[in-house]
Amino acid sequence: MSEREGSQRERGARRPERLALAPAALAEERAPSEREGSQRERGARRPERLAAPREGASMGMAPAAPAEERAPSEREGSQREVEALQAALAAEHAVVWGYGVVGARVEEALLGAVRAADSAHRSRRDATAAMVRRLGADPVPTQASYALPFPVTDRRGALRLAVHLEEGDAVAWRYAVAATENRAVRRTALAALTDAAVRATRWRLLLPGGVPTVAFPGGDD
Amino acid sequence: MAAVVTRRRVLASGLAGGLGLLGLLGTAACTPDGAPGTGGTPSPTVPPPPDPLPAELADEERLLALYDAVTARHPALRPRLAAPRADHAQHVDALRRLLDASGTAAPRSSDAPSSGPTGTAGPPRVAATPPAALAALRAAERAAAGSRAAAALDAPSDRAGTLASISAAEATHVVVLS
Repeated sequence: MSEREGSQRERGARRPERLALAPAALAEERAPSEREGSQRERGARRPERLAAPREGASMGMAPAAPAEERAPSEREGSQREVEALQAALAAEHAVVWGYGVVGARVEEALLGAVRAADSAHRSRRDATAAMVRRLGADPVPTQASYALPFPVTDRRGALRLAVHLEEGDAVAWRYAVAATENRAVRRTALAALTDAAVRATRWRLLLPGGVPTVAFPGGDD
Repeated sequence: MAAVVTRRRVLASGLAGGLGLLGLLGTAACTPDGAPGTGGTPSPTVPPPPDPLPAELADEERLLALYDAVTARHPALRPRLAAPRADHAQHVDALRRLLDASGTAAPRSSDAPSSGPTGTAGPPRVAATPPAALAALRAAERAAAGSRAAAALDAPSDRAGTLASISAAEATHVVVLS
């Protein structure tokens, strides 16, 4: 069928550059008291720099590069698959770290939902790391800290961050869906994409005035 | 073509009630066993499976029509239905583009209703009360998400991402409609 055609086009597609959060670069300003979050995530420390890593918005809009000369080879396919899973794993690391920040800023009543999301992402992170290992690669580690896309000082900021985290996660998993030909991996990626999209919508519903859904969670290309 | 019609019937029944999702998941679950890629070829004369995308497109168009019918009958639901409806309009466009890109003639909306015995032609029936209408929409969205997910699993990569994304969007619609 159009298997070939699909692979060619995908190879032209850009990899997702937008993680849920960008690793923090130079540490200057310390976000106040993200203690709770930091404690919950071993290895992750408080956010040390506020930045806006949303520049990846153009991802997926890449013109399809002419890649016809290269026939799909199994090795390449699996390399691409590993890259995609590593990107998804990196996103999960960032999301787990980010939910620590979210949890420190929402009211008691929302903590259950935050914990549930956090725990779902931890499971996903561990399962993804195991998948990467099975494919013969070393799972990417978590970063010491990540940059927040905007200051998170109150409930509204925390909810916006939660939406941001899930959206970034969805981008990574949406890419993984297309990057693998392996049915089991694709099924996992699809489930992760769906979970992230549903959680993003649940968080959006708590932010008055916004549109609760997007037509293409994880982007469209 | 026969398979497409059959699939449409399944999809149509998914729109009519909640059982469609079970049927679709059943189909999806059977596929890996029946088609293990490089595994046993059932018969050398078996033609390639029909393109599932036209049926997915037709299903999206039926969903749009269902949203419009519900809004017409229950105008008070309009604000709540706005976002999912707008998403479906984009899904229709995206699936059309994919079909155009693959050189397959996308079925026009007027062709979409199947002539099968389940009779999807004509305006969709809408429940008399808003809660019942919402429940029907949720069932339709669940069935749609299952169908798009099943299609994504077997699709070439350029289609898989879009189908997966649409499936995920439909899962979020269930939340909005709940």
